[in-house]
Parts: sequence; structure tokens; C-alpha cells
Amino acid sequence: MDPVSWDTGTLPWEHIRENDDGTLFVDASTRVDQDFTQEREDLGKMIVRHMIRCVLVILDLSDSMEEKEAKASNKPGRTAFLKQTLRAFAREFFDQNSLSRLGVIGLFHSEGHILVMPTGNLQDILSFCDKPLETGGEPSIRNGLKTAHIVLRFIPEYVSKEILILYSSVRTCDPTPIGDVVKDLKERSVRCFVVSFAGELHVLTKLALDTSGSHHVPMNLDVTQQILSKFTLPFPVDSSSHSFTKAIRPIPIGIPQRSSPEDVEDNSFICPQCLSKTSQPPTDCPVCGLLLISAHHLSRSTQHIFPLIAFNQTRDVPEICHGCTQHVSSQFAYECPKCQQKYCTNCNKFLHETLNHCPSCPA
Amino acid sequence: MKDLKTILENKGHGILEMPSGTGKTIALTSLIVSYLHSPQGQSKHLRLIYLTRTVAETSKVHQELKRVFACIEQYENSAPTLCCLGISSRLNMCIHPTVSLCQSSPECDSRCRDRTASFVRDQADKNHDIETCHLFNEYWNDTEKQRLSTGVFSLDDLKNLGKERGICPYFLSIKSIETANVIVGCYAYMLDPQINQLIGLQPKEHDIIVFDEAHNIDNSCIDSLSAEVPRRMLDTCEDNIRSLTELIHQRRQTYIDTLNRDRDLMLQEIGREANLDQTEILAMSPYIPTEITQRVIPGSINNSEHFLSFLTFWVKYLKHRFNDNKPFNESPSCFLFNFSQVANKYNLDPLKFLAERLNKLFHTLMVTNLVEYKSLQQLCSFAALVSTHDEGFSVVMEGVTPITQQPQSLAILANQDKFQSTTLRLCCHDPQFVFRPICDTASSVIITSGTLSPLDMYPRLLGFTPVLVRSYTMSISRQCILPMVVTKSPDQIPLSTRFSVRNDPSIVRNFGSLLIEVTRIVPDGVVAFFPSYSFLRSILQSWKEMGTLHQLYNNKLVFVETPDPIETALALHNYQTACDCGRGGLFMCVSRGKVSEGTDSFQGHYGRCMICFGIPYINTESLSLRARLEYLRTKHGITEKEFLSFDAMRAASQCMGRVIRTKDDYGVMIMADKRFSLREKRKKFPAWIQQYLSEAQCNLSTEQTAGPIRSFLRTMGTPIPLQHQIGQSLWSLEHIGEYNEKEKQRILQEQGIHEHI
Repeated sequence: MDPVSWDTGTLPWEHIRENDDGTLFVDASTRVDQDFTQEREDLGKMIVRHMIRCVLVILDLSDSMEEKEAKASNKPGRTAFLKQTLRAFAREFFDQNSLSRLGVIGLFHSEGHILVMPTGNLQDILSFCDKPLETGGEPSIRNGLKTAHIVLRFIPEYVSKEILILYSSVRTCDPTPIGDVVKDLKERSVRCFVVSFAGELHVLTKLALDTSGSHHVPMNLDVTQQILSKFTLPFPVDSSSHSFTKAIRPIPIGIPQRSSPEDVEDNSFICPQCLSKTSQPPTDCPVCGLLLISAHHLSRSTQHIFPLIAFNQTRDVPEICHGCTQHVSSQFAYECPKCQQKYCTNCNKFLHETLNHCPSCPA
Repeated sequence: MKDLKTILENKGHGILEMPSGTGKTIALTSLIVSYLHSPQGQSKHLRLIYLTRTVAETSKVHQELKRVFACIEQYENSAPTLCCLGISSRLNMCIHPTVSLCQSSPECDSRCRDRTASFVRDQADKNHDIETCHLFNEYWNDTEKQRLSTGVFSLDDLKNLGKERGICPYFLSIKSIETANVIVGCYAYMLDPQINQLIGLQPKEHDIIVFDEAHNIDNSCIDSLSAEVPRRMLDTCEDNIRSLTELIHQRRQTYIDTLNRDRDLMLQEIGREANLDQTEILAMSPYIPTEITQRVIPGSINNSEHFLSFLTFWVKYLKHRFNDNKPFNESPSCFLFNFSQVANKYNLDPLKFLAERLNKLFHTLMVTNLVEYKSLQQLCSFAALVSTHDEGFSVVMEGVTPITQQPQSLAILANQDKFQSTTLRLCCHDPQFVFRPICDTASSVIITSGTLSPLDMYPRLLGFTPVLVRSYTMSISRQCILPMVVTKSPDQIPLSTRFSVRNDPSIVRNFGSLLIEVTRIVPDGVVAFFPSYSFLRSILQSWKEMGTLHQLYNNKLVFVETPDPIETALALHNYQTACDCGRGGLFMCVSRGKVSEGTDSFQGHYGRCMICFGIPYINTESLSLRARLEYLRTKHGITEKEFLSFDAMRAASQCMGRVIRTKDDYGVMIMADKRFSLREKRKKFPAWIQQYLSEAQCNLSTEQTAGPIRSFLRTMGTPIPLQHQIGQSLWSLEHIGEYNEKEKQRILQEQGIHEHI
């Protein structure tokens, strides 16, 4: 159990249970686990997903951040918790969606401030997390959404636009209903996801419902991270929606080559379209504006759309694993249904979770 | 459901308490409708009368009934041959282009009568300039169109049907009462003898009567038999009498027979029922035992002038009593005795017939705009009630403002005038007068509500012996309420609203800090209940001085209920908008107020937390209440303390019950009074609240509430997937099968044990 936990009413040692054979284990909330595995299983089906996403994280940095519960007074506080959550989320997000962008908006003093413009670079987010955050005043959902809308206006249509709200107050200072802003967002097919730490706030629940997003109230840190890791996978596109036709469209991309292949230290690349020098992909070419990515990014981005099919479990264990060329010690082996090559348990896991590609099958 | 069947089969009466929003209505209607639908039920001509409190609730019942009917149709491939009907006042039913624009019920009624009364129609036949209602004419002339087929007809359905066929839906519904199998309406149709007589909805032998949301049924019974005469009404009565006299003079000159005809009508004494059809009953005659109504109206008031002079005298006498400016409490016979002392030249008998006579007079004079003469009618029914009832009634003069020495500002005077004008009241003390006849005739009477505890009180108050009294706990898969009793402040000062300590600054401050704490944690709507308007006013005053109000304002927008219904409705509307916006609202209201009962104004996010400050005892200073308490003690052996605490706990749990309205709803209940923690008080809460009220939560101090509330809100915020509910609050067919098997086995086992013994 992490020392940083969001004012949980329960105590860490209450989660420890005794097994049948007397060993201790941590009884995490099983309900979310089930949903999560379900999500993984769904990956196998043919679903249209966005390849490039632009996610804006709206952080509630109002005076509710300074609040502390009596029990949690020795803990680092909500700001630290929020930073840690954001850091973990950003790492996993860029790992899963290497072409996507992430931006941060802060709500404080009744305004929505852009803290990090949408960026494809993990370092930007991490360095933001290291800086101290300004907090205080009242939060305004309306202003936050408006700012997000302005930012998202310049994002091309084929990009999935999402807003993730991490909210910890029980109120907003908006004097009027936010219906008009929600309508604007819906027109741009922006989806809003809400994680509300302080309990269900109706206006946010409704926002999530209206923009076909989701609403969560996490009980503790574990659940928060599980919920957030769900966001790192791109969401299926509703095939009946307006954005469906826009999502399926060829996007011009270029795969740049190193300007000097023999010099590993030199990180400059050549744009295949205008032959100008650019920085390390993924990036936009500064001259012709072409989206530049590497082959690795492409394969990592398509993994959610074309996941590696599950291998068949067989009892026919080979001498040597095709992947790691090591002796197979377990009772089972896994066979690729396409090329009939057999892999050990560890390799099977590695191929499915990290590589997403069978090395012996032709691409 | 099984319990319900026991009630029906035993032809007894029952009291059922179930938490609201858990399918109370559907459980009742589906079983009873299937019972009616069964061959056994059809052969007996059973009838279900379902009574709710408001029109909005009526339409909800209709929706449920439609689902039941659709379900029966699905399983048996034929729609049930039952007719289900909604009844309501003209105001809600009228589809006439001009009349339906009326805002108030009496206005609508009178304008309808302008067009439909029999003499108006007679005149219209001769003179085509007189406006009549084409819808009614159509209804009256074409008997084919008066028929209703089987199915469910809600108020809106009836209106649409009326538009389709071009007939009046109001008269259609009244007409169909005789043939309908299921009737849905408001309490007044059954409880108020005046309305009851008017539309002919008398309980019959095979009726099953359900009173929904019936926690205040004793009060509604009493209200229907009580009458009051405010001071100001007497002035309007005098005006009315004057204008009537003028009218008679006018008529005498133009139309000499009128008065003769009037007297003829009197003397002939044509059977009232035969003579008057539905449209001709101009005013509702008060509830009077039949032996009196069958007697002939005494000769002394047969002449209309004599009648009017008698009325004038009666008004004068009442005025004289008002001028004494002393509160009193007399039994009706004593009151009448005083009257006869003054009125030695009059006999007392005519009093009983004032209302009757007035109706006749209106009829002969062809007066249709009865709104003007409303106060005169009320006065006459007051007279009739006073003179016919004695035991269990008392005449009370209340709200007398003592003449104060120090000068008061005009605003305060106006305020007092508005809320506590001197009123002469005839109070009925015994709800049994109305309720017992219903229980005696109908085959089953079922009383149900979310909050009926303590259950044993109702049979004693209403005077019937129930076959079954049952309080159900909740069967929802999660704990959706968090009841807490807060008894002390952080500095261990006990919290209480006892009259002697309620204005103690430390208690007021602690209430304030509790409210601030709660509003900071709870999202969306918070509702606070106070025992009385005066306490609410004074506490707001002190909070303002202490700065508490300002702090509250930072957390939530603050709204306050006032005795004015329009103001309150506006406040409620704005409060809901504040909750919708996300700003959050705090609604301060009074238990027993309009807001605290009925209406789903606090469902979902509109009411995430209810706080009850103090136990809402009734104001025992009121004379009418004192008279009622005394009557209860002498007649039914219910002590004053017992009744008061019953009534207070009923009001409190009613307030608390606002929090849950649907299956997915959740909320916090905080009871802030030391006295709530007493075991004796806690036992009086409904079972579904007690179920979650653990010992640990019964003696909290103000600051201890925050932790449980936070974790509760977090748990509840996660929506539960449907499959978790299946097996708990949702049962599929297999579950029911399993349950039946288990029950059978259990019964077999029990039988086996018995045989063994």
C-alpha cells in the first residue's frame, strides 16, 4: 500500500487477508479488476479505434487542494498525490500511444489556465510535475472546458479529442448551467472523462454522460491508478457516430531517415518530403508540416487496432523456444496459429504485452 | 407480496411500510390487478380504489398500471378486461378552450357551471346567445360516446380521448366510476364526505382500497370534517347577504313566480337524489347524518327573506364572539347554548339546514358564479357542522392578538395579520368518524407509506383492527443511506432544540458549524429541516450575526422556505438550478412544511444529505391541539406524551425519507439532537432506517461526521453494474423459482417437525 492515498477512510492493514494456506495477501478491490480484464479480452475483437489522440488533463487546483483530513495530516497532501498520479499516467499514456499528445489545464482562482500545451514529449509533462503548482481560489468547470475547447479547436479532425477531468471539489463557481459549452464540445466530438475524488457531482456526471465519456469515483490510490490506466488505451469509435467517417481517412505520414546513419550520437533526421533537417520523431516537419514518425511508433500505435492474436496453448512442448532459444521447462507451450512456431510462457507474454508482433510471421 | 395476498384473502385491513422508491406501487398494483383479473375476482366484481396524495403521484400510478397491463397481456396473450380510470378535478381535466385557462380550482368549477348547469342549458335552448359548453352537450346527447372500453386511462389519456370524441373528459370520468374496475385518485375523493357524495364514489362491499403515502392520513381525515371561519370572512358574508337580498328584490319585480316556485320546491320535498343530477349540485353539502337530511327543512327559514335575516343574525352573533377577543375552547353544544341565550326568538333547529337551504336558494335564483359566495357557503357549512356534531368536536377561537403596549412597526403588524388572523375553528378530534365507515364497508383497506413507524399507532388512531402490520427492510444490493445521530459538539455540549435551550448561543453556533462541515463535504444538494418557522427565523438571525451564514454561502447557495407557497416554489426551483449548475445548494425548510412531505423535489442529486435539527414536536400551545390531545386521552387512552412523540418522530422520519426516491439514489441522514439517541426514540424510526443505524453512529459529535460521510460518498459514487444487483434487488424468473423451491422445502420441514412432535 502506498503511503500517498487519497484521504481513504479505510486503513491499509484492513486490506490484508489470510489465504487458505496461511500466506498473507492484499485484498484489492476485485470489482475493478474484473472490468479491467474484460477490457483486455475485448481487445481481441475487431474494433475501430483512433490511432492519434489528443488528451487534455484538467486538474482541479482550487483551494480544495489545500484541505486535509484529520486522519491524513501526516501524509503529503493532495497536490503531491495529484502530481504522482499525473506522472504515472503520462508514462503509461505515451508508452501506449506514442503518436498522441497530452496537455494540462489547471483550474484555480475561478479560471482555466493552460499549464502545458498539448505535447508529444513525455519530458515536458514530467518536468511540469517537478515544478511547484499554484493552487487556490474556486474552481470553475465552465472556464476549464472553455479553455480546453479553444485548445482543441486547432486539432485536426482525425485526431480523437478527449478531456480528462481530475476533480476534487464538491462545487464549481459557475453561475449558469454549462449546457452551451457542452454543446460546443459535442459538436467537435470531444469526449469528457471525469475522475471525481470527493464524490459524485451531478454536473460532471451529466457532462460525462452527454459527451459519451465516463464518470468515476475512486475509493483509493489503487483504484485511481486502475481507472487511469484504462484511459491509456484508445477508446473504440462508435461506428454509428459522426466522427466515425472522419476517423477512417488516410493520413499523410513520413518516416524520416537519420541524416548520418553511421553517427549514433547525431539525433537529426531528414524529412522524406522536403528533405529538410528535423529533430527526433515523432514530430511535425518544421518546413512542410508533414507528420514524421518512426516505424516503431507506427507499430506501437497500431497495436490496439490490430492486436496480436492469442496463441494456442499446447501440451506438445518443444525442446527449444523459438523466441528466446532457451530450453522450455514448463508443461505448456504456445503455438502461433499462423506460422506454427512454439514459444515458452515468458516469450508468449512478452510477445503479447510488449512486442505485439510474432517475430517469425512475415509482417 | 405474500403478505398482501393474506390481507386480500382474509378480507382484512393492513398496514405496510416499505421504503420509497423500491417498487411499492408496482408490487401492490400488480398483485391486486392480477387478483381482479382472476376468474375468482371477476365473479365477485371486485374493485380497486387507489388513493394518492397529489395529482403528480396519480399519474405515476397510471404509468405503473400500464406496465402491469402490458405484462399481463404478454403472458396471457390477451389484454385484461379491466377498466382503469383516473379521476381529478375540473381544473386538471377541462379541455374547453376558455375554461381550461383558469388558474384556480374554484374559478374553473364555477365557469364550468356557467356553461353546464341545467337551468343554463334550459335557457340556452330558448336563447341562443347564452354560451354553453359544446363538449358537455356532446357528452349529454350521445350516450354511445359515454362508454369507456377496457384499458388504462390516465388523466392525459382521458383528455386525448375527450378531444378525439369531442366530449367532456371530466363528466366522462365521473360517469365511468360506476363501471370502472380500478380507480386512481386523490385522498379527498374517499375521505372528504362532501366530494365523496358529489361524485358518488362510495365504498362498496367488494372494494379494495389502498391509501398510498398515508403517513398523515389521520390529519387528512380530521381536516375533512373540520371547518374554520376567519374573522375577515364574516365581512364578506355580510356583503354576500346584502347582494343576495338585492337580487331577490330584483327578481321579485321582474319575475314574480320565482319565489313562489322556490317555496313550492321546498314544500314538495322532491327526493333530493332524483332531483339533482351531477351538474345541478351547486355546492357540496357538508357531511350530515342521513336521519337529519331526510327531515324536512323547518318552516321558519322557508321564506327566502326569513332565511336571509336568520343568516344575518348568525353572522352578527359570530362577530360578537370575535369582538370579545378572548381565546376559548368550548364543546359545540356549549357554543350553541350561548347562541340560544342571545337568540331567544329563534329556534336552533334551522342551523342544521342552512347549507341545504342556501343551495336551494342559489338554484332558484340561478346563481352560477359561486366563487363570490364561497365564504357564505363556508359559513353555512360551519353552522351545519356545529349543530350536528357534538362528541369529539370542539369550537376553538385562536390566534387572538393581545393588545400590546409598545408601538410596533406597520410591517410586523401586517405580517401578523397575514399569518395569524383570529379564526374561529370547529375541530374534529377523531379521524375515526371518517375512517371507520370506509373500513366497515370495504373488503380490504391497505395503508402504505415509506414512513409509517411506529406502526401500532395507526390502528388505534383510525379505529380498525388490521390483519397484518409489517415493516419491510430494504433489499438493495448496497447500503444506500447513511443515518447518523449527532448528539454533541466538539466541546461536549449536548445538542438539543428543547424550547428552553434552543436559543443558547453555543448550541446555535454548534448547529452552524455542523452545517458548514457538511456543506463542505457533500456535493450538490443539502437540505436542512428545522422544527418551526420561528426557530428558523431566529437561528438565521443569529447565524448572520456570527458570520456563519457567510461561510455557508461560500460552500453552497442558501435557500429558505417561507410560509408563502409561491415564494417557496420559486426558492425550490432556484435551488434545483443551483444543484444542476454544480454550484450546490442548501435548502432550509421546516418539517411538516409543504416541502417536507410528498413530491420528489429532493431526488437524486437534489438531496444528497438531509439534516434534521431537533425533534419536530408540534406546538403544544395551540388550543385546538390541546383539545385534541385531551380527547385522545379520555377516549382512546393515548397519553399526550405518546401521541406527541409519535407525531414528532413521524415528521422526522418523513423528512429523512425524502433522501431516497429511486433505486439508484443514495444519501446521508443526519439527526442533530441529543434526544434522537435515546433507544425509545430510535425504535420509532422505520425499519429500513434502523437497519443501517448502528450503535456506533448513534452518539457522534459534530466533527466526527466528516469521515464517514466522505467514505460513504466515495463508495456510492461508483455506479454499480447491473449484474451485481441481479439476485438481490432484481430477480429473474429462475430466482423466483429457486425461492419457491426453498420456501416449499422450509414449509415441508416445519410440517415434518410438527408431525414428529
